[in-house]
Amino acid sequence: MTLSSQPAVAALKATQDDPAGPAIIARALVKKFNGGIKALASVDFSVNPGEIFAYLGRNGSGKTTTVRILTTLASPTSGTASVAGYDVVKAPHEVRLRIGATMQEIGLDPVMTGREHLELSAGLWGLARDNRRKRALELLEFFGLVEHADRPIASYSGGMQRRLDLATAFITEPPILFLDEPTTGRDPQSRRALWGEIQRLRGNGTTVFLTTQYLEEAEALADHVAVLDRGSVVARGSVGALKTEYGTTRVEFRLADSGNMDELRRALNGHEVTPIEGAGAVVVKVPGQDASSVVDIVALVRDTGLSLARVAVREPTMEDVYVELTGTEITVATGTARETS
Amino acid sequence: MSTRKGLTDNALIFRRSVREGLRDPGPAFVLPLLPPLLLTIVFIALFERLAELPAFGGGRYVDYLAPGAVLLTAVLGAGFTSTSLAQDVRGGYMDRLRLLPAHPAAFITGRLGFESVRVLPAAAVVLVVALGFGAALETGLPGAVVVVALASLLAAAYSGLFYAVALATGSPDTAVALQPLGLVVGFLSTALVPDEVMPGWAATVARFNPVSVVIDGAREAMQGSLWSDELAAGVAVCLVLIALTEGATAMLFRARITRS
Repeated sequence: MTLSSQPAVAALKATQDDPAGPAIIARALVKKFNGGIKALASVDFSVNPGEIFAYLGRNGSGKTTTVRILTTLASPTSGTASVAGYDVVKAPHEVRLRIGATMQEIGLDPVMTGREHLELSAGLWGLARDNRRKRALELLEFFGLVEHADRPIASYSGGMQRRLDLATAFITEPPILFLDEPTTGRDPQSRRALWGEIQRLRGNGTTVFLTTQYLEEAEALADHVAVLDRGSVVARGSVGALKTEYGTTRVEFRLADSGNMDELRRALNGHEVTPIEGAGAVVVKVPGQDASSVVDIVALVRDTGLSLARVAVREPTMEDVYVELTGTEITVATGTARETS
Repeated sequence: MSTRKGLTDNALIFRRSVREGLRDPGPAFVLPLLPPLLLTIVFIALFERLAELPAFGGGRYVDYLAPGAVLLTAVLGAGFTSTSLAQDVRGGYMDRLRLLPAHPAAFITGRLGFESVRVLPAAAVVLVVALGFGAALETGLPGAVVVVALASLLAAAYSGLFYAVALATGSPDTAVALQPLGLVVGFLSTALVPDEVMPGWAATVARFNPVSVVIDGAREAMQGSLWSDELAAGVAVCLVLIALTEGATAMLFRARITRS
């Protein structure tokens, strides 16, 4: 099921002034909080219209601060940002007309019902009364909240509150959508459903700015990625380009007879070789995604005449890229980052 | 942004406050009513002979008390919507709303509209009860309407103070914490007795209390002539108070939402 867009909703859509220009630009964005804490050191990037842009970083790296500035909720200490061609500080209303956003920390009024919240939000968007009701119902259905529509939000589970918050961002299907960690803490099924919806929106020409700490999410969805670490963008580019530049291809050789380890290691002299303890196997790391280097290494091993039980090639992942860039790894399962020793 | 959109935004926030009030009728509607109502009944019973003092000008005490009691509905039990204002800001719902292309001022003014409406039932009931006890109403129905409208205006003016404090402290308990202030500004005014009969400092406070000016305007509108200089002064005081408290509220609102 997908969300239909009523003509009344479509009529509200404001568009970008220059459709070919960047959808989002951030230039030297700095944000200092009271007490001198620097949340953003200096952030630069631009997002093309109609693409999915993943803003990747662990907790506390400045993702939410960036989104708050781009969505007009906070002002930068210095630097400029524009969304849909409008300066976020000088023309916040023009920006708000063109964005939908969902924040990591959900703010909802616990005494309102889900329906009341959506109808109020649709009204503040400018929908007429009948259309408010219709649109609220559509969204409640799409996000699986219809049975809870008339219960106070205080009775909603965390997941339901997230879905309701997300529904608010979808009221008018604006041309630019900000999703601040939309899938954090969600079950795999609803995560997949949201991925599908994000891809459908891109198909409609929506620009999606997605923050995430899930590397596989960036990998699955993003056209371009910016990696944020301690308030600075440390790399940006397409997923493929980042893997080529910062990633590592791993070639694993497992010997039929683990007694021949020394011979294997001699043959691979000059390459970065990590033995796998007690398994009679090694992993050779090859920078980037260079196929011919992989073939050369395989040839080196073949020429030794050693009998092999297994040869495996692992393509670089975004995780490699992230570790290479930040010196930390993100634990995919829990979504928390920890320092590598 | 068009004026019409601005009005719609205000109406939407107003309606949200109405729903809140209907869900929680105790603090929203009963609290402004109960103290002035009890006070009317008890004070009339206790202080009938008080009006023999020359400062009352020869009328009966119930005549003197009625307009004061009606206007006390605006200061006792005030600030209901400051709770949700503080909660919205603290809990992030204000951010959720600010992401929408609405006029940000509506998040304050829509609430203020409800504050001025919320007090109407209480003011009307207190007036009817006072009239039942025989309070004079020389100006008839127009006088009654003016006095109730003045209570509504004073409620808006006084609520601004609650908004400013709620935004400065971020505390949803502002309404409860500030309510005792209503006793001070209400009782140390000309609501219950003229300042001439008060001892020393109390008379001074009552004389310079802006609420006294509004109450004197209401008293004149009920028992003198409908349109008087006193009434004009009362309305002017309300408007100045609204400008001051809402100006402070706007500043604090801006500071709070741009801080993060």
